[in-house]
Amino acid sequence: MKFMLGDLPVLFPYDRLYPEQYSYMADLKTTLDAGGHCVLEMPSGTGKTVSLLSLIVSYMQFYPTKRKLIYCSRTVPEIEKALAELKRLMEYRAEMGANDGEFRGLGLTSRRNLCLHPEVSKEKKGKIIDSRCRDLTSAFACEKGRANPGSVPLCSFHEELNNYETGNLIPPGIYTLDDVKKYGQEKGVCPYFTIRRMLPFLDVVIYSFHYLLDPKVAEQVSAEMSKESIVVFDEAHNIDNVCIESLSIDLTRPMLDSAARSVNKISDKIEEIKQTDSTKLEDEYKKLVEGLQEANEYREDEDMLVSPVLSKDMLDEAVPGNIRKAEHFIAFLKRFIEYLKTRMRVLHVVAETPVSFLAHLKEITYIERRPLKFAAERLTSLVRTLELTNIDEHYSLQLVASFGTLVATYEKGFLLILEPYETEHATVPNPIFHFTCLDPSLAIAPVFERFSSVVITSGTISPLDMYPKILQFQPVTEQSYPMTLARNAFLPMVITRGSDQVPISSRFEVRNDPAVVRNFGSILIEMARTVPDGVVAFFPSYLYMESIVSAWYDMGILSEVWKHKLLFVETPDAMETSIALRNYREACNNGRGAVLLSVARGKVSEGIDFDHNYGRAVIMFGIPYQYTESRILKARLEFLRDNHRIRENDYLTFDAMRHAAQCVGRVLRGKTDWGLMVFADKRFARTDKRSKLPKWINSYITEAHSNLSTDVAISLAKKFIRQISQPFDHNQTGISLWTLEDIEARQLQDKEELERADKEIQRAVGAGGARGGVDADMDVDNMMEDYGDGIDEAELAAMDIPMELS
Amino acid sequence: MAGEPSDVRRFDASFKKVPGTLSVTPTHIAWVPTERDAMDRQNQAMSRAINMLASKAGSAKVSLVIKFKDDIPAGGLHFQFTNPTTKDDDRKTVQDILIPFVSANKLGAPAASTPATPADIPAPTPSTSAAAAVMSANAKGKRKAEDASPGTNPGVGSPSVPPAVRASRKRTNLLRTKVLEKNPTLMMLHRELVLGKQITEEEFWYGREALIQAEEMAYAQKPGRPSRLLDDRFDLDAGRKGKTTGGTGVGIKTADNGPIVLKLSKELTREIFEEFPVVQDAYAKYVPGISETEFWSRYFTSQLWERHRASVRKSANDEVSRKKDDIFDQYLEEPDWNLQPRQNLPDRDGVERFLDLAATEEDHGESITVRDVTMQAGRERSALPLIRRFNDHSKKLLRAADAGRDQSALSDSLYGSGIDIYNEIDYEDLRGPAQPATITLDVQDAGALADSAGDKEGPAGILPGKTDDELVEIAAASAKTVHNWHPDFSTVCLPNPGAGRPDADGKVEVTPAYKAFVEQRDAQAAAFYVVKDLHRRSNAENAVLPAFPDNVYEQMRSCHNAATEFLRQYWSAIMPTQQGALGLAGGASAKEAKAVKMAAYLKNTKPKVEAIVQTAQILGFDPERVRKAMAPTMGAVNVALEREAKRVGKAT
Repeated sequence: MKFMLGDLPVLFPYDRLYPEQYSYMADLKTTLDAGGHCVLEMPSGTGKTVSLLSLIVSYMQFYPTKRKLIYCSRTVPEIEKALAELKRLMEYRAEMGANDGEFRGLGLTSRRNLCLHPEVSKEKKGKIIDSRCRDLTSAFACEKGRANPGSVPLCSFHEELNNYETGNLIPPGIYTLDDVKKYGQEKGVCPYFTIRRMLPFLDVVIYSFHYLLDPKVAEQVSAEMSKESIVVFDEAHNIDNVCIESLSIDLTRPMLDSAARSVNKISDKIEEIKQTDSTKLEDEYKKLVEGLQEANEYREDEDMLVSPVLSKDMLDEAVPGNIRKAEHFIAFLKRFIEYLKTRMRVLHVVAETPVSFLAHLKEITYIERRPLKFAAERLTSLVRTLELTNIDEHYSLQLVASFGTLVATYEKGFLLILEPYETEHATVPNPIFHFTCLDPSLAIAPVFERFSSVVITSGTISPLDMYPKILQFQPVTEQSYPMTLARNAFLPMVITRGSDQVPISSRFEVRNDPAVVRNFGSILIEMARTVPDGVVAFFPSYLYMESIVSAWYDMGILSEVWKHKLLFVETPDAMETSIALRNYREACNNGRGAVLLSVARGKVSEGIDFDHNYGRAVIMFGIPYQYTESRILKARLEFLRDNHRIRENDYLTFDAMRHAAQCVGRVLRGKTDWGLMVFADKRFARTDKRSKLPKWINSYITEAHSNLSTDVAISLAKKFIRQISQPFDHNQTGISLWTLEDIEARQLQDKEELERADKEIQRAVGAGGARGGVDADMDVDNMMEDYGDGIDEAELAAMDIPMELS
Repeated sequence: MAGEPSDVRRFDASFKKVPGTLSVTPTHIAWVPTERDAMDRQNQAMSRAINMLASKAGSAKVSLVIKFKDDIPAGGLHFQFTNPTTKDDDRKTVQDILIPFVSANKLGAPAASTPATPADIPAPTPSTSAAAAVMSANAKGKRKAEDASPGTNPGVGSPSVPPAVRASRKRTNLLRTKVLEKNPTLMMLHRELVLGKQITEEEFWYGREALIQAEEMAYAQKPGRPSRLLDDRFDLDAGRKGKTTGGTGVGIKTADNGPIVLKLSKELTREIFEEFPVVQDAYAKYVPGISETEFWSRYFTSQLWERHRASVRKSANDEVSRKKDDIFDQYLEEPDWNLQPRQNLPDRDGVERFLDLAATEEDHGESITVRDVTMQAGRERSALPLIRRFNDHSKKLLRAADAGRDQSALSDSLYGSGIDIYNEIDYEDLRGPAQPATITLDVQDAGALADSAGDKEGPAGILPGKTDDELVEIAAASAKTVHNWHPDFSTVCLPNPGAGRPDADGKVEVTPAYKAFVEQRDAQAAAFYVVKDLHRRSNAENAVLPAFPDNVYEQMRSCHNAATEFLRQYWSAIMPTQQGALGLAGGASAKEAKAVKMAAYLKNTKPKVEAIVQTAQILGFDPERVRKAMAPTMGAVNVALEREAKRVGKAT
């Protein structure tokens, strides 16, 4: 359908529209017009992505500024779906006669997911693929290989790209990741570099958060994105954790050992080069004097070598003298690693700030802060000068160098924690040196600074004010949309006790109580018996799931479940889990029905949808609190309390609830879909917990359903399923489903209200208000004139026809 | 056999070297010696034949041994076909006639069948023990062994009929027998019509393909895999007291205080082999060497079994008391409890992109931070093999359910791009129109219907032809009547005014009031009689009549059944052949012939009914009731006959 939002014609690839989608698009447009950031919460499964894309693409194509869209999502499945959504949208636009011409949209993912090289792609580990790819495609390898064919192995897929014109490596259009791969296979070109090199020429790019938030990647990939771009973080409820992760590094003893070995290897290499080709090292020295900018010319292939922080001013600075010489730098690294190793020998927990760490470091090793800051960059330069291959071997060394750079760069918002033992009860030391970021705003700050419009959106982002607080930005719009439903399509229930009236909870003290375990189990059995097709259950942690699964088995609970459904469990291996998931879906499709056990915050809880028959019920066993004994979490809570005045408990509950909501929200897609949401923990009955759930879920939890025992809940569920399975001929249109007429009626209503308000204001303000009104009119005229030139005639004509008809 | 007229067939055959005649009727097989009293006659019901053994084709003597139930007569009957020219064919014919009976009877007597049915499927183990062979037969399903190939009865195969046809005939017969067994009515009908030579076997089954098909499907259905894990059902600890355990202890018997007794059924063995291929491997290698009992008892006390059991709890007799076992210990391997499964997984493109969790992991890069203890997947190492077995088991169950479908599509390798990602992102309810399209009824003569509906239009409203004012008036009037109505019971029930005093003449002057009273009284009495009569008569109608005498009833039923079957046959011959259904061989002419034949049968119905009426009369039963009971049947027959008369008339 095509409708007008103000002056903007929006092409929406469906005939109907949810009211939420309309409001969402309207608010989004306001934000884009105003040029600011926004936080929008829209119920899961009400077509967030499609509304977002259709509005923004319409916006991009209608206004002459031709802003670009950087769309970030969490997981590859979500990226792939967003790309498919975009592709279908553009097909629809073409059908409707919109002239999008050279519109291009691509998604970016790692080499491992795209590589076509017959040998490299066989490797299992992404790191190794990256490294081997680099050996085949790096600037110096290409130079050598081209000058003297056969001397150095090159990747034919990469070489083939040189036959294409820059900026036109792939015909215009939208390609999903699989499409690009297929295209690469057909043409014999490298999909990864096709996308990488096309990035500056794309209208829409879709990739994961990391490409924009992680400084190690962002500088490489996203540096060339125009400032005018619209940035969208979809499924952004976890964005603070991504920010924190991208600036945190954990070191272990094996890593230090490996780094020490790398240093020795590099030192040997330096000796060797000194004998054969000492000019190389001298050249490098000269370049380093001039500054880093010159030293790093070829950047594209080196994204695995990048410094974790890189401010512009640092680039122009000269590298400190004491690490310019290669052998000096190696000695420097050796000393640093030795120091870290010594620190690891301590057998009690240490927490210190970067400042105190640096002071101690200087005292012991005379390493200054400034050279340490350049460690990562200097290492990159050295690796390039030495033309090292197989750099995955040096991965640990890179981490150590990054660690040094980060410690030396940030004073605030970070903490160093040394944990000699993995768990409280462990007796064998396995020290981990955490360099942990406490302030998520640090990683995202450059994004807010650089891009004028950043949209943060998700199905579960309540409470809305939390995100601006912890990410330190000022949103123009903050909105949460309720879910309009013509019938209650989902039934949230809070089960607080078993049929035997024993309260259930995943609280640490009681979670392994046999009565609780059994009651959790009986919920699963009863649900498996009652609910058709798929049932998904989430546990608060892997540890708990793994222990309860074996306990359930020994109690005979799983055998009972098997009578009704097949059972699949998330495993540590991602591919194994994917296959289990696929079997799960197959079982849901063929009527056998299945139960999937998985973990909130785990792999499955992010990015996999359990819509329709894939999830008729979702059970949340316990509240997915974080591990509160974690020192990192404690430090973070302290930080939040001191800096943002967020109480510890509030944050913990907020964090748990957003994940719980995220899990249960997976079951809905569209308004004809239905599902049960079971919250099995007595603590869910408390309003302070429930109030942190998104409005659209919380408003459907009635008081009567918030404190149930298993048997009552099951009978309610049976009733609900019977009821929902009745043919539903109630007319949804107008209530939860809008046609074009409904939209227009709404707009008319809005307009009238606006006029009335205007009149009121005019009456109150008098002449002053009237003058303001005239100004506004003039502005509109000006704008219209501008657009007369900027828009393709054909496009205008095409867009106007339907409007005249209606 | 199918399509052949079943009749009494006679063959020259000798029994115990005495020449004679072997006659085969549809129900019995009989042998009569040529010389009187040279030998006892042999007569056996077909339903008792359970096996046939034939001499090799081409050998000098063409003989056939027929075995009967319970081995009576002992050793069966051994016939030798003697007709020098046709002896081979004779034997074949006899065999063909016998096959359905034999196979049907075999099913009824599985005990006898097992030893008689050598498993022709290669046993999974080279074991010679009978148990293993039976087990393998079990594994493939007993029925397979029976209907599999002519090889089951070596030497039966004859060159004239290809084995495939023979096998299919055999199967059809088997199915037919089964259908008949399930439907006693049909069986009776079959006996009357087919065995009574009224119609052929083929004709009888024509139009009943659905029954056969259903039977075939039910027959082909195999029991699925039990959904519980093997060792859960089969739990050694089940018998222990005071232990909560999930096992039901299938196949376990515990004597009080005694050792645990394992009852190892073939089914269970097969499942163990399926679940743990290494055990089968060990079995194959060692079992002829050591006894089966020893093998299994060693297995169940070995560490391998302990490892195989999907449980993390330690059994009471764990490592310390477990003996070293030179057979099973070599199969011991590290439990599959590392983060990466031992099983080979497709490295990439193994699953659709939108399910690919590994891609995400790679996309985010190797995490450089360590998650807290509770969120590290796979920390509980002992649970991992368990979880993997669950997933594996569920997968196997799923595949077992899908076994009939295309296997290649379900393999773990590249799933293919068949799944449309658009389906994954579509919002159906946003597609207009939101209202479901109405389904138009496919009504014949829809136009005429609409026309007639149009006729009824025209005058509409409550009372056509009246104006609103008039209607209001009528309403007002009625309301008034109702309003003013007073009950006056005296006009309804008159009091007896007395006959009046007799006057001078002795005549009683009848007062008008009395007259009215009398009239009313008489009317009441009359009404009473009428009602009483009605009541009586209606009671009589509902009264339970004496039941039909058994033999009359039996005759009626048989007559009715036959008529129905003839009708069915007749109509199926008249009606155009259904699309997709198998027509009679021979096409139109065959159908024509059949119709004429059936019509002839149908003509006999009337005399038959008359005969029954006669019988009833003789028995002193109300013949009218018989006629009435048979009336619907007769009606249907008459319709068919009229139709036939017309058809024939038209044709000539």
